[in-house]
Amino acid sequence: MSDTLAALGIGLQNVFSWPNFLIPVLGTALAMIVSFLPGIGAASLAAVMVVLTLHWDPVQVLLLFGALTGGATFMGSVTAILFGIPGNAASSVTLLDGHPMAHAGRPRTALAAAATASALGSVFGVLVLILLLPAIRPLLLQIGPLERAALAVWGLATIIAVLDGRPLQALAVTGLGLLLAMVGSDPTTSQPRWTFGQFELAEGLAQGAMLLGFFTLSEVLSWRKSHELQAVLKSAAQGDTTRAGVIGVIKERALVMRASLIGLLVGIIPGVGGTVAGFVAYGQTVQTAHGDRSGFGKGDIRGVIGPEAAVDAKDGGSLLPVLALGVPGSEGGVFLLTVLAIHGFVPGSAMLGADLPFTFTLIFALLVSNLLTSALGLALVPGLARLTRLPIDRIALPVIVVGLVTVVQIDGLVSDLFVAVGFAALGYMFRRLDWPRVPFVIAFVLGPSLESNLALVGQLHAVGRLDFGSRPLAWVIIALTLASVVWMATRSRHSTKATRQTSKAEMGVALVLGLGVALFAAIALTGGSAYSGYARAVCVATLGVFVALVLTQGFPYSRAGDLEPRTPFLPASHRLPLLLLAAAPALTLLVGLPAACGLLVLFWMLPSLRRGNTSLQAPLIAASALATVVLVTLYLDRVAVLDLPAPIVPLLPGWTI
Amino acid sequence: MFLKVFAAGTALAFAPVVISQGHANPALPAGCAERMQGQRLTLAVPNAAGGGFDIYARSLAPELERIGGVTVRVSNMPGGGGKAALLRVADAPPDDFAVLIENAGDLVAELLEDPSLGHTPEDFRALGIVQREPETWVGRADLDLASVGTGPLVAAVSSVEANLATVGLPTMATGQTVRFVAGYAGSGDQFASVLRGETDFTSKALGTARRAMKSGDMKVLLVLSDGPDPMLPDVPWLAGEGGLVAKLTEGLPEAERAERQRIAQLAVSLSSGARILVNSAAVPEDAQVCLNAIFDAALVSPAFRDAAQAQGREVTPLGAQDAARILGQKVDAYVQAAPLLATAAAQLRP
Repeated sequence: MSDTLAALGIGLQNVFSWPNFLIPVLGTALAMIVSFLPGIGAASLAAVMVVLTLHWDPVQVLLLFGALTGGATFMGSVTAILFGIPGNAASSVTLLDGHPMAHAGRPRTALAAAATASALGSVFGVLVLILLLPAIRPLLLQIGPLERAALAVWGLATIIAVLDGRPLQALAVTGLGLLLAMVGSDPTTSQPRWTFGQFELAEGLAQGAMLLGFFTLSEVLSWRKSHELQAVLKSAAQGDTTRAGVIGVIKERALVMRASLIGLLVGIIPGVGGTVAGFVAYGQTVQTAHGDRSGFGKGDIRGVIGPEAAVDAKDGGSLLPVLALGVPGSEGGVFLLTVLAIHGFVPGSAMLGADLPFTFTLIFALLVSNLLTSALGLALVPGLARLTRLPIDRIALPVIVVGLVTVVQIDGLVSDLFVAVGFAALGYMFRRLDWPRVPFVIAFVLGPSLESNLALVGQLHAVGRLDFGSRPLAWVIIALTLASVVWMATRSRHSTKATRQTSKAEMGVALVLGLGVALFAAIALTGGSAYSGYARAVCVATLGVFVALVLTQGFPYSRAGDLEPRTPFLPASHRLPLLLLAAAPALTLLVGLPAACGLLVLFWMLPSLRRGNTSLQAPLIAASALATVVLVTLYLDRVAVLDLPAPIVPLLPGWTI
Repeated sequence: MFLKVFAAGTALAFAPVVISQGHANPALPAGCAERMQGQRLTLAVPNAAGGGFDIYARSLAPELERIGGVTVRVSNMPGGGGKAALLRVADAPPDDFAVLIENAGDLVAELLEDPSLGHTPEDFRALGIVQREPETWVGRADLDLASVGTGPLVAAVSSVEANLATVGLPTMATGQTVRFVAGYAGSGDQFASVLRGETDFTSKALGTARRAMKSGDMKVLLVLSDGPDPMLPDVPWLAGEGGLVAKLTEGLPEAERAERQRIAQLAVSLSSGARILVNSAAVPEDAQVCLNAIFDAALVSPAFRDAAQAQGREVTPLGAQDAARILGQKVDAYVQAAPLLATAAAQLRP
């Protein structure tokens, strides 16, 4: 015990001594800045810093990497709240309620709530991390495929909480999410499935492209001079202050604790990640919320607090498997493990024994970074909130260009543009028809974990290596899942929507999606061993739900529908953005990404010629398009260092980007 | 005045060229300095930034620039399981110097197994090998593969297909019974499954295995080589005299022993890791000669070795000729082993 306290003291001293303290401060600032750049995530920064810090003192390296682990998490939520663009995958859940809050004139409250919840979540995560350290190895060895499968089921069970009064649609989109998550290859045999011969799909539909398309691009489509913009408040709503956000979090301290626990648990489990932590916490937040729950998805502050606390608490949890077992729990964990190896640290007994002072140094650097990020976030709230006053139709175009570049940059695949645009169309349809989107994303994110771990459980059972009776943690998670389901079933339903008439558009969408599912099911049932029993079961069940959906919507459908004539399914103002976005992938293949972005800018702005001074605007539009081409070229060539295949028709000789 | 400014500007503009010419590596063939000067060379890495291939590529890049006078870009292209990077290099125009760094065995398997890629191993030229290391089995500390009656072993693997050469063939050679548990996410997940006691062992390259051993509770059970490994002299090896197959097949008819040894040798050939550098065979011959010379010199440079070692990566370089020979051996071994791999796949799929 005295050794632990002594190590704790040395760890604190390492962090707070001068000039050591500068390292986590500068590391945090660096991570915050980089997390704003499209596509350059914490992983890319960590890769560069591994090389740059080769000859540093080990303590300084730990201080820096602790800061890098904690610094990037919160900042991704800033863009999610203000513009609906998640800065990283984990912050995509924050936009569900954060962005509507900003739209409704409450950006300060949303940002302050996110910053405060992040800070509390990280403190909680680190405190529990310190308490758990002595007993962590046996605990970590309790977490295997059975526990991970149980956690995935728990996460899916939270969908019940976010049904939004449309259970059949929620079931249908859940099935669709599970189905699309299986595209790629079977996790056991690696045999390709539903790839249609395209090697680009071998690793599945890219999650980054999905999140950007489904949330960001689908949102931006409606930003171009549309009727919806009239609903955006130009000035702050009454009571929109930093204080309101902080107090909102303090009032919800029980929620912060619950969500932090979820984040910590998910963080401990290798390979699950912050996105899962955020969405599971969101489901639990809705499920356990007191009072009116109809505001979730429309700007309920609790929808910001829960995920933010969970995502930051996850950082502490994800350190545990790295330090105790040398098993990375996340992408950041891989770099940390590399850094530890380079500087002579041995994960396992050494990090929990003789090297405990270094372990505490890393933990406190993480804590300082998380607190610093939140403090800076709170200080910057007034300035950041002003960004919402930017004319939204003018930032739509840069957002689309940045989104397209980011999608390509993640894996270096132009084909991911098709994935992003496909999900943008899906997200747009769900948004226009008011179908629940969260169940789809939860299913897509959790689907691979559920399938692979169920397969492992089956195989381990078959070879006699799984004793269900000796897995207490799995039983705890299963009990929690059952309790959640029973509790939700016995509680009064929230916001049951009035019975709706089905529109022509809704019937059409249900039919088209149902036919797609039928095609997938036909391929699975006739496709041989690449399609496991799980894959076939999901197909058949989803198809059944879509059939039920179409039947219950009834024939003949109403031509009037619930969408009023003033808000048609596809308003005229959305047609050009949709058309340009749909054309972007093919244009990129044809003329390259920079030229495609330039053409996108050109055609987006051309209609404005009809409204103003042509002689003045024409050169401006041409200059904007040209500037886009130059900027995207420079970014891909100098910053992202990305070599894409040569376009079919190079507009300028020598262009390969 | 104008002339002075112009002369100074011209001198400054050409200074880098003059300096680099002055420092051009004398070991390069005649004309190579002029041929390659200022050319852009892309090192395509089939993984995200930070992994082993990326570390080697980034450590090698400054030496290629210094020796060849080229501008090197390291481009991470993990898409399609690395096939995006493979196609980027295979489809590069002749005047676009793109080089892929990949495991030789994986490269051969991808090209031979996936005709939709539209390329064969003949479409590539080997430029060199950065590092070679044998595959190993890492497992429970109390496990002894040589002891009779070990019984069915359970292996933690990422997928069945990816472990046919590393686990399937060796067990066919030793005659042991192995059951696969497939679907573990990565090295960390597989090691954790061994530590939990769910599985007995997993297969990893020697470097990865040594890093895992440092955290304790596991040991290297077997080296997939045909002789003792200098770094692990006490650990059993698979093929050849004194190897595990020789010990476990004692007393069997000679013909069967020979067949088992043949399978073991194929397993060693296919599973041994070789991080190879290849470019497109469409590159003009004069440029190829220069590229070979530049890579030969860069791979053996102390600066490259030190940079890689500082990041925990060993360097065991080989030149273009040896790399081409090893690539050819991989292709031959793969063709010979194809029927055995199919049998192993049928037996081992869960």
